[in-house]
Amino acid sequence: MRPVLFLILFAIVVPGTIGEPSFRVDVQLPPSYSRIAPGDTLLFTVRLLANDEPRGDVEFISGLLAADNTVIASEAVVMPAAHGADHLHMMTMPADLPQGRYYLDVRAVRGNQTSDDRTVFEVVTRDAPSRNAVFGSLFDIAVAIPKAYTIIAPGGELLANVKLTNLGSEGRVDVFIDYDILDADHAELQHKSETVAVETQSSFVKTFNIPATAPEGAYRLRAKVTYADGKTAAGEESFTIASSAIPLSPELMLVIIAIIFVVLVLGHRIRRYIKHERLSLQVHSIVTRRLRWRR
Amino acid sequence: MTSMLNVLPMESVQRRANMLVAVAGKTPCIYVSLNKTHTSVAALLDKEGIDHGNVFFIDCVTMERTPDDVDVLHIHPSDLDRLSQAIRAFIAEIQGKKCIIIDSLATLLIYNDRACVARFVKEVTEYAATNDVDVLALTPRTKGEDLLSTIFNFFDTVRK
Repeated sequence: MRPVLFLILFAIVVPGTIGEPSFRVDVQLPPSYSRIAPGDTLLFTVRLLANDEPRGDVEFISGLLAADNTVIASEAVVMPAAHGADHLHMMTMPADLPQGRYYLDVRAVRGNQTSDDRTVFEVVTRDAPSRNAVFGSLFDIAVAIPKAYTIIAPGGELLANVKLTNLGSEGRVDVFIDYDILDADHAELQHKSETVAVETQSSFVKTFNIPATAPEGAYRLRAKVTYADGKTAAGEESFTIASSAIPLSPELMLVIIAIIFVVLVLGHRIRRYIKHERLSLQVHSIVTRRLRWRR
Repeated sequence: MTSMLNVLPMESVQRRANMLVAVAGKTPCIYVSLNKTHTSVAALLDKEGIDHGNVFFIDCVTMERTPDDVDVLHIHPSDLDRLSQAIRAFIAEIQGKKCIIIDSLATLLIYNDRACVARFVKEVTEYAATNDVDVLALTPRTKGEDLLSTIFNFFDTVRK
């Protein structure tokens, strides 16, 4: 039924002309997914570029079309509109799909407004090298937050080192990474996503601007990588949002306490020494004066 | 060198102190006065005709200095560290034979606990012993029985 619906929407309803759309949909197919085999899962990102403040949910209808625009399959998903954010979508190819060129069409529907975008890919045999690089990959992801960034003030910047390692196939693989900053109750403070090309290993630094209104407390930065036919791997690290101006690591605090202690002890000893020296001088002058007088 | 503790009736303490100063003669004395101001002690010595020109007073009664007492140290009786340092400084500065007179020891109990006073007495007697200085301490009989029992052993002689 869905393909028929898709056909109707594309064939009968003039795309994107019912009211001037206030948004535009952009579909991105990473290079390593431009050649896939029958039965593989196609991973692609959809970005909504809105001209105004996004309101309400958006329905994304993805369609797999043959070179002659015959609709082979379609899927629909509804999600909140997030301007500029990449949404990861998956579509599994039919197992009996013949080799050749195909289209991936995506339509975004919001109210009575629509926007369309199209990209092209190729279905190849299962032993095609470029395809095997993707579907033979096995990824691990690690997140590390430097000690200086484990305590962040609201409005500050969080920095994290992300390391992706492909333990499987060789060759370039495009992967999709979702970053979530979660509080202690697993509520999302911030979300980011991106597509990264990895050969064997890739390390990079990610920065996140912490909102000035972020409540103080314990948080987690979680990074999830999605690749191949929807396989995932995740890594996370904890940090704290606190209103102190300087992020204080436990080691730095210990050093500060040790310095204060040494200063206090030294100050006390210096004061005692000065008092002692003054007393000695006073006694010396008394004795000298008295003995001189006695002579 | 000798260290002596004189335990006396209250009314006899000052008389004995005067006698010790008189016996010292030209030997410099470090007089730690805990019951009377140095002015009062000097006046009593003058009254007895005792020369106190070689007496270096440490006045633990008045803390205010006057233009006449530039040669007097004023130390609060609660500051035993400073008192001990002052006695040591005098011992180091005065060459030759000298003695220390402490009048009266039990008064320190008003400002310090027994252990601190005992520690002070031990420090002074030990330092004096290593520097060949006589220590003559006076204390009234009716005060500080517990203290006396603690410090008896620090002195070579105890006279009751």
